[in-house]
Amino acid sequence: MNIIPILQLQSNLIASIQTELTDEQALAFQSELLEKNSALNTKGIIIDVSMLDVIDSYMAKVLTDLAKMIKLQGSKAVLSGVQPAVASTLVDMGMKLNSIETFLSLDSAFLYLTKEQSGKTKK
Amino acid sequence: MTSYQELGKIFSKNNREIITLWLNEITTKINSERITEEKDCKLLIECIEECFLVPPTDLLGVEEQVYNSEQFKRLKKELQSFAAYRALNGYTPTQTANYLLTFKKIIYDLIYQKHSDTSPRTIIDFNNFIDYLVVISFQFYTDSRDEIINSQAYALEHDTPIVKISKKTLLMPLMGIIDTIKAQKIIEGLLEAAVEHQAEFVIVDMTAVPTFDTHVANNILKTILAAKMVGTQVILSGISPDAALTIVKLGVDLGHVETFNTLENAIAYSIKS
Repeated sequence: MNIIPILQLQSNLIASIQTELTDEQALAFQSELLEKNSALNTKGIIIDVSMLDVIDSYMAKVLTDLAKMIKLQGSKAVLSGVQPAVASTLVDMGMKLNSIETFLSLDSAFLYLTKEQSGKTKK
Repeated sequence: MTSYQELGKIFSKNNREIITLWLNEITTKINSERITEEKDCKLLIECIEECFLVPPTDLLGVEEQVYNSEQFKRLKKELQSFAAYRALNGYTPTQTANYLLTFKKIIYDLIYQKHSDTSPRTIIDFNNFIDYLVVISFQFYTDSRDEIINSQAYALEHDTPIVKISKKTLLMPLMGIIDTIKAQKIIEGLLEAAVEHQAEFVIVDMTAVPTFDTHVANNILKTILAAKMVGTQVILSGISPDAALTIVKLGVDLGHVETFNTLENAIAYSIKS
């Protein structure tokens, strides 16, 4: 059962992870996000982790996998608000989060996605 | 009469002569200004003389008595400031050691010329006394030097300022040799500042980084990756030819990082994008 609210804002989905997730919760979150993305036909997904003090390697893998899956669905997932301590721990563990773009805040992530989407429609 | 008392007598009889002789010797041998040395020399001779004149008692050996006396403590204190001054003002170890060694020489000359009836015991005691002084003054000298080095290292270690140069750009000039402790501080400082100021770019200027090895490269790479995770782009500037050579030879891939030859160009880039 997914415990994370997934909200729609214009053509984007926003999910803010507030607490540490167990492995089952993380998987449930993953599948619900994928389902919502295809059902609502959204173009961008922002996952905000600014409340998380710890991201373990499993969670990091879930997030990067999620980004790849969303890309297969034709949308784009970005991450916002990674804490400094989290970032340096992940780097120390050898994780790279290469497949997912990251932003300083929810605000800048949303700005980026809307800009990109409007750029695409103009083309 | 103890040997120390005998020495005390020689000192008080020839006080003026000792001072001039020693000053002459110092100015020629150590190549130092007479005016700066005169005060120190007089003070040291006065302290040494006082130690010789410590009144003997029957309780302890003469040597122990002198080394435990208040007068000797004062001499030690003066020697400490004497050695610390020399360490601070860039005197070499040889120069510092030479002060007391030349002192020994002029006293021997004096005894040979004027007091040839001095007992061998006195000369041996004097020799031991001055040798002891040389050892402790040298200890003070190196202590002061260590203190200077430590404070400089501390200053370098803790001096990685982060400056905000525009609404979305921070500047972090790196200075000195980057070791593991410092690298950790750089990573933490950079990430926290980036999040706090919501900076899109952080320019890391490496103009003042003299050496570049595997560790530094690795730490820079870590910083760049971590910064990317929090959503900031790191721009490198001022990588020297030497450093560029090392980076490529080590096989560190900085292809995805924006790099500029000068800080000026880096700032121009951050303003443009």
